[in-house]
Amino acid sequence: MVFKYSVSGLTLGFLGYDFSEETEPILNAIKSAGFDGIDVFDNPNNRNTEQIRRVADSLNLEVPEVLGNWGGDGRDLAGGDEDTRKKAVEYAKETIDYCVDLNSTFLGFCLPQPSVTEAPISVMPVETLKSNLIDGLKEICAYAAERKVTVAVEPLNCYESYPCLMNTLNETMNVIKELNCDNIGLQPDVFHMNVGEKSITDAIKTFQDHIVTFHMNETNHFKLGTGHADVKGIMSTLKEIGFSGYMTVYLPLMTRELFNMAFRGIVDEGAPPVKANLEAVLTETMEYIKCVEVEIG
Amino acid sequence: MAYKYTVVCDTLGFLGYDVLEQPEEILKAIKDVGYDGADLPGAPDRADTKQLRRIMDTLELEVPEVLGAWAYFHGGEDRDLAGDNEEARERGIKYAKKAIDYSVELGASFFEICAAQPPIYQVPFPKLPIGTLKKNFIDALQGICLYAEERGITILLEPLNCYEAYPGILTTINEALDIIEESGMKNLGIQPDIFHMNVSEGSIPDAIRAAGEKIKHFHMNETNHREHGTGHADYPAIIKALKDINYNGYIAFYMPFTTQEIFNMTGEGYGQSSGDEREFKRPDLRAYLERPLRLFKELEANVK
Repeated sequence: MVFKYSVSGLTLGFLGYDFSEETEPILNAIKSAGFDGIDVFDNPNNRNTEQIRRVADSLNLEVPEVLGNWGGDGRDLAGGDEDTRKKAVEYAKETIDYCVDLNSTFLGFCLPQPSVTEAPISVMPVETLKSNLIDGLKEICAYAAERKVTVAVEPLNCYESYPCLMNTLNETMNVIKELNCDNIGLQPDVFHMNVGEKSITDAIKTFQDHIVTFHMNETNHFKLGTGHADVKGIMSTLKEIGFSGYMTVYLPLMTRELFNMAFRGIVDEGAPPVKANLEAVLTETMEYIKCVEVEIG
Repeated sequence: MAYKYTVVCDTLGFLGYDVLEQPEEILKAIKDVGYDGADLPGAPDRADTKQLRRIMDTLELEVPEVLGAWAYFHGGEDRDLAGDNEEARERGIKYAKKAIDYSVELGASFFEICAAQPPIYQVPFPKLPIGTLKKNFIDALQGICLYAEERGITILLEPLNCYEAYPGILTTINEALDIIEESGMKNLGIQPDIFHMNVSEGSIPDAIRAAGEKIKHFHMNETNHREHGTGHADYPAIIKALKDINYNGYIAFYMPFTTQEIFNMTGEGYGQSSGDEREFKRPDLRAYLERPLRLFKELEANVK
């Protein structure tokens, strides 16, 4: 295999699965499909550390990253409310400790929008947001460095993150440069790059020295191959630049019913939806990736 | 057949200009640069309709479309036609009828409608069943279409990306085709937009071919909302697809998003100018109007 592959734990919910509740069968399925690891999506209410560590170790699976739950209330590191920014820093520290417990190298960091989306531009000046963000990230990186954790920053599109602050790799590097920290890098995601970047492959080449993890996703969030992501071109570029980190694969969005059950606890009247066949989705996803690997040689 | 070209005037706000505040100057620039029309903002409460009509007639510019202000950040109020908030639906219908009357006064052919999200987006799927949202939307749309038909206006559906519109209702061309069929309305068409198609469609050219003659107007935008050519929209392939379906309507250009400072000169929301004194900072409007026109006339001539 050209790369090491991890499953995005966040996207298990797209299939109707709750990782905290079904840790062992999910990790078994991930291992059986040929993945090397799982990126755990932080569930502060049920971190389930011991079981994840025990099962992952027994299966020889890694947990390369803990993706922070940044969409939760009160975790905006850039906005105007000082108390909220402090809470976001405290949350990050808690999650870094969790990374240490799971032997994870990376903390996944995103900067979400306020709940009422500010489009096409934020209400506060971008420079003020950026200054707040840098102050918070400095503290987070210092804490992470002492614990040998690297912060992987994922630029999100302009609807999910404040516009013009960290929507592209270039904008994100402008923030990272000002931090003067060694333990922070980029985590590009194809879905978001499709909105923000001129060329996904050119952006990867330009910022190759700073890419620490990579999210392989489709442009429409559905199954790989159903959008217009040039998966072959992207993987070929990552190979060309000698990327040696984990490629985290997104599982596809399925139905509204499964998503609502997993993320919002909403079940329509009648019987709850039937979960997708996890083994089949994982196997199909891995087979797609393997075919592309063969194509890029 | 040569295309006709128009500017989506709401997007002049991205350059710091407001067509409703400086109509003479801006519309003259649009005419001088070589456009055939100007798509005017769906803001009947702000616009001096008679003045706009007089200027357009004098300049011999058409108003192909009036763009609806459906998003919360655009219209300044919740005009959700699909959700379970009955007040918002009624507000949306009332707005649509008023904007249709305004479209008639301006001599427009089309009025645009989308299935805008509520102020707090429901992504990647809505909370309510898609069937319920779709039924609400079609019920509202039928009433709006009947009102528009009596006044000679065609309603155009614009599929938006999953953040701006309810996912699964009107975010793809295919969903727009379903709505047209299920509603049974004759005065309905589609107005695709490249920016939104880039997020939702598997292939933009294939989606254009699938929509075929239902496309009545076309938003030529870039994948990153910036200047044409700075994103990854495949314009030759898009023009080829439009030629394949014998499209002969207007190509409507989006002006590019520039900076927060320039956008803020127009106040909150598209085209709602605060009359800021820092006018000198605005970019050269004519230069921004000329560039896409030159690019697409060249593409139109060269793409076979």
